[in-house]
Amino acid sequence: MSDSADSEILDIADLDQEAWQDYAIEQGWSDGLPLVMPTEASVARMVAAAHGDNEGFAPISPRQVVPTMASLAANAVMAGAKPAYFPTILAGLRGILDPSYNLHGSMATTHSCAPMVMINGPLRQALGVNCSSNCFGQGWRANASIGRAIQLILLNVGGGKPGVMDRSTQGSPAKYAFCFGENEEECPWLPFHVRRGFAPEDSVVTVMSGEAPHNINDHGSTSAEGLMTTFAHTIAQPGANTVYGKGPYMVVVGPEHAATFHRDGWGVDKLRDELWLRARIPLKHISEENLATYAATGHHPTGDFLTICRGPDDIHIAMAGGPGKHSAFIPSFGGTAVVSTRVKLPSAGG
Amino acid sequence: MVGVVIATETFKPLVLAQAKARKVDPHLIVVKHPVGGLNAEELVERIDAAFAGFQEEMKA
Repeated sequence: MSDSADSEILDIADLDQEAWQDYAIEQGWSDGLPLVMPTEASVARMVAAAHGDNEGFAPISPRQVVPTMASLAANAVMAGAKPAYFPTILAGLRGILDPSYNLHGSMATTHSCAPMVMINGPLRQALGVNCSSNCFGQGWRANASIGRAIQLILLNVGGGKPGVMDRSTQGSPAKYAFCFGENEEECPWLPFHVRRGFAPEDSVVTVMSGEAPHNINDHGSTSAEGLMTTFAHTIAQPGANTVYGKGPYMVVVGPEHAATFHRDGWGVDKLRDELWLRARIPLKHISEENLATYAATGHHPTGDFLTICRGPDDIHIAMAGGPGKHSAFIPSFGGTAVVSTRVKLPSAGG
Repeated sequence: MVGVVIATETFKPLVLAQAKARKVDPHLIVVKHPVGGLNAEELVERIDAAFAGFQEEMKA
């Protein structure tokens, strides 16, 4: 792939669907799944959906290429996104390109992190983003193609080729697409983006370099206190990256667990404070060799425990999912941040 | 002052690709993979190789 803008339009022979797929995969453009052909017309429609977004983009690691809008649009088309999704994709990309996200480190690491994308605000419903049952799973075009478009941009523009520049030891299914919406309608607390200072009517994309969700199953506890016991001990994992690469994590509370916490008077701040105090790893769960390694890099125990983040501010609480007694823990890469970016909607007349 | 980068042979392509992206030409010392998870005895060979490479770089 050339970095030259004038090589963005490739003149290739007319190909049928099967030949196109073979061609695209041979070029290394695919995540392994079939790609939609990005014609000049389809790319132009995608670009038009971002009309009025004139802010430039930072270079995308690891290749350090400054993307053009057309190159981003082509990847959104290939991912199967509708043009209406494009401003959301761009907002997610801007978050990933924020220096605090540490895209370079998160791409080169052997850790299994992928860009977690969470959507808040009115666009969730307008675009059909699933925030309820199976929100992390398959079945919704918006979730699947917004998450996939960002991954394809990192592959085809950023150059994050698996096994070469993306050196994850095992990877993760989250690297195909990892996008969901917060279930604001059933959330007993203020929506995530409002707690971060945005207006309720803003649509906001939040990104974090995270692992795929880890399930927190608790069908038996009937109190906030009981649930917290399960949450804290599920989260306190000696194999977490953040044991030594201190950084944020997300807890996506399911609506039935959230209702129990809320009924018992636990708000988001209480949840964060309790997780900070209780989601700690007993030293007896950590090998002596690891303890020595952590100490050598400045990560010392707090009493008889190791923490997995730096304090309550590193713990991010959101609410998503449908009926059932499940929640999720999303550990981060560690040296990263949770970044929220407002979606720029097309300007009038665009 | 000369800086060197020590990488394992497995990660050499990544280092070179990233160096190219950043338009730098690092003094690279390559040792066998892996380094992490080795005991002291196993690590001796890697240390010797890295030190020999470092000495070569200092002579150059």
